[in-house]
Amino acid sequence: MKKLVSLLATFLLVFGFSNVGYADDDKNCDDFSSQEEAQTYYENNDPDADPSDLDRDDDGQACENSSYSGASSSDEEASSDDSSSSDEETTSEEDSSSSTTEEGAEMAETATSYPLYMVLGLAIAAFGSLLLLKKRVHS
Amino acid sequence: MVIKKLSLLLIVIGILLSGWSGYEWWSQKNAATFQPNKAQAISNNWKETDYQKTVNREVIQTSDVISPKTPVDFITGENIGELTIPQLGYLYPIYWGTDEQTLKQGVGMYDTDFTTLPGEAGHTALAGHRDTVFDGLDQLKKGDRLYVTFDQTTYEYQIRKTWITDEHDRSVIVKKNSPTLTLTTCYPFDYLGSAPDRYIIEASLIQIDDGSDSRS
Repeated sequence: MKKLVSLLATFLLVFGFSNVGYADDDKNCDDFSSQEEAQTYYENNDPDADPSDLDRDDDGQACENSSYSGASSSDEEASSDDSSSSDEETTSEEDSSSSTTEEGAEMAETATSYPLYMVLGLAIAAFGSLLLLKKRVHS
Repeated sequence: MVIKKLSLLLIVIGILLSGWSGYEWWSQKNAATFQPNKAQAISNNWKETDYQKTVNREVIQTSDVISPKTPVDFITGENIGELTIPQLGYLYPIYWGTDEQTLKQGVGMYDTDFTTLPGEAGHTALAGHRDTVFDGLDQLKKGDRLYVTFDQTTYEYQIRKTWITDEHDRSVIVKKNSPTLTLTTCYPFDYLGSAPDRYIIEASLIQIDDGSDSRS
């Protein structure tokens, strides 16, 4: 029993570490505390290929739409200094501008129902012939 | 007697439904032509998957090989070019627009405020059904090449990345400043009925060939 537990613990340990290693390799926007930090990482790691996909819209700006924990905390500090009404105004402006840059078109509907209909048709035909067979057996 | 009639009716309906959808599926699938020899003849180095630099936006805008055509020149459903994927051995006709009727004919080019024609050095996006024309698109990998022939010019793209996203993701069909080709199709590929996800292939323009070498 002890052996099993230790085996499980080792497995978890190795698995956990390998996961951490993976997360370290492929950065997400959440992994950075500011846009500048993300930009520096992006510029130092093959910006043309952008292996971590930090610059989705290919405008050379990494993670410009992401919200950062660091940035929001500084906002809170600012709100305690400034009057609350002016802070609300600035945040609402920021929100609207970020939503317009994120906006894109809806993707096309690219699945046909034909395979489903084919299976459905076969099922109906099979049900019909089953019914017919049953009827013949009974009569 | 009633049961016999009913079961016969069910058999007929079932066979008709299967036959009709099978025929539609088959004919739409054949919109893409499987001709490996022709597809692979488009370029000598289609097999090379090494990283090639993206063509600079300014180079395209100042060059005279690009097409002077603009989106207003086309009507929805019009055949505007051809997509060639040597890796799969397929050639696909490209139509203008991505509505249901257009996508029944083959591959559709997005007509949105965010996307452009290949010659406009922006974001060109194509859509195709996962179970007819774009069947097997998941076999393409990073580094593979895609060719779009449009207005006597061949645009050569190299796949930069592929990913899967939600069908409502609006961060895919967006404005881009570097010349990009995006293919979208439904995901999962082998799944009956509607698809909740999208499979995205993003490629960058690496060369423009207006065919002047072969003419001279």
